[in-house]
Amino acid sequence: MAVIRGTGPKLDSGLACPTFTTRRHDPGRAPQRYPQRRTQVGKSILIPILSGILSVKYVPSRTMLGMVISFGFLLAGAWLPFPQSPAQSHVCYGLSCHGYSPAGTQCSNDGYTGPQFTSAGAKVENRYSVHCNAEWERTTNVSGGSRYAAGSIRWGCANYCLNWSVSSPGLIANGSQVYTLMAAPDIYVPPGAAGKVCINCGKVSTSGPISVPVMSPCTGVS
Amino acid sequence: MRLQRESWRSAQVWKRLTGVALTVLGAAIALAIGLSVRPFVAGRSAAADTGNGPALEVSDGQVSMANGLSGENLALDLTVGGIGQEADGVELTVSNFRRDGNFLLADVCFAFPDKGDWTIWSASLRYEEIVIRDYSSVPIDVRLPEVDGTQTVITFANGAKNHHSEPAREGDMGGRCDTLSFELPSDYRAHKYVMTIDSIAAAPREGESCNRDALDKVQAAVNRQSEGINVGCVAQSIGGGTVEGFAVLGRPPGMAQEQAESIVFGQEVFLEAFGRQGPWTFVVPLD
Repeated sequence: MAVIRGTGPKLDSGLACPTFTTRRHDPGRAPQRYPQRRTQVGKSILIPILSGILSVKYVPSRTMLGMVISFGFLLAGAWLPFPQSPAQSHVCYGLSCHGYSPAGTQCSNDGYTGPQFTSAGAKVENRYSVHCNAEWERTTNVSGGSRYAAGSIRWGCANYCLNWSVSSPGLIANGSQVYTLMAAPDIYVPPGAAGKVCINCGKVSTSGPISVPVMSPCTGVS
Repeated sequence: MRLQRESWRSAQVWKRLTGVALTVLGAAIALAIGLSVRPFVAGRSAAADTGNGPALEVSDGQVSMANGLSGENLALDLTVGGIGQEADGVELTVSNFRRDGNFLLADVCFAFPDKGDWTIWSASLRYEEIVIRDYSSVPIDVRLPEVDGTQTVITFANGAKNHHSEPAREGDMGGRCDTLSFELPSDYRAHKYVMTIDSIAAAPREGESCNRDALDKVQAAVNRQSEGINVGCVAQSIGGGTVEGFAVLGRPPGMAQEQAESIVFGQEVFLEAFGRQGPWTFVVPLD
């Protein structure tokens, strides 16, 4: 597999896409979970409705109750988490993040950059979230002009045959980015397997769209 | 009498039905009002709030990169140990400068200026008349911003990533150390190298380009360059990922689209909105 030319990632073997032997020194702290949104919203809407129906029959002051019910609906609209499509909102950890966007899962909130390189106008980063225990690839166009951009996070097999990939269908401006769906470390290799577990590849080009998965240049290449 | 009773009863039923209908209608109107004010009170949503930007296609822009080397402003000679240099309110520390085969490496550390997602944005290596702008980096450790008196620290060693929590003083924004690497021609041996960190930046995180905070920063930076350019954003899910960035929504009469884009997408606006400009320059004599 090609070494990054002109960039020379001096990476210790296996360091670029670390095996996730995460050791938490605070074992009592469980992964953060959120209440089921459907239940939460359902309760918040059904209770006022039921109360309203019952009170119309039994409570003398309907006007006052109507105002209270309306206020409850106003609060529900403004603050309660509104059901969204799975692609847009999904709180996850590890395997349950696999295949979801970091942007729609709050995983990007604590996202940070691991190994990265800048080559031929592309900044290619391995991104990781501690909160979600999941990672993804991001390619930013830093060429100074408009370019096609593409990125892949690859894992599995002997040659990283599985991947999440993204390729811009058109030119994107300087400073714009493409990023992949998330991959879960637990899914990379069977238990007991050794060696590198994933690599992050990306590039920009004046011609495109760039075919994916991106085979090079990549982080984590020996 | 019976007729009176029946008509009274039906009037009561009508009254109740009307009351229920009015209550439901009022609730629906209130819900609609709540949803309309949601963007202003609900805070940042996890889902990208796609702006009214143009289609994904962005036309070419002529942009000049402001990555000059300030070879005349060499501040310090770095031999062994760590040495720090400050620019734009940020101190960078460089240590362990070494050559390993075809690669020149150095460990670079800095504290984050705020809770943003800070990384080295641009770096270069100069020796003789040659300038190398491509580089790679591998983290040594990353300290995330303090939350409730603790901060998450991620360390990297021997192919493993470990994280744990540590007590942190209030307001600690975190920081990171990375090993920077530049590839040199295999047969070349220079006696002196000049490594420059041109800038660091906290680019918007995934999904943040369309947030009000990011748009305001870019708009303010654009306004300082030129008035009348209206900035928007683009966030589009495609296949296995997302394309995201800023866009030009409007420009003053007489300004060409290319000129507006060269300003909005230029390095100057980006660094003013999200970065800190160096250079942090280190001269290293090596055999």
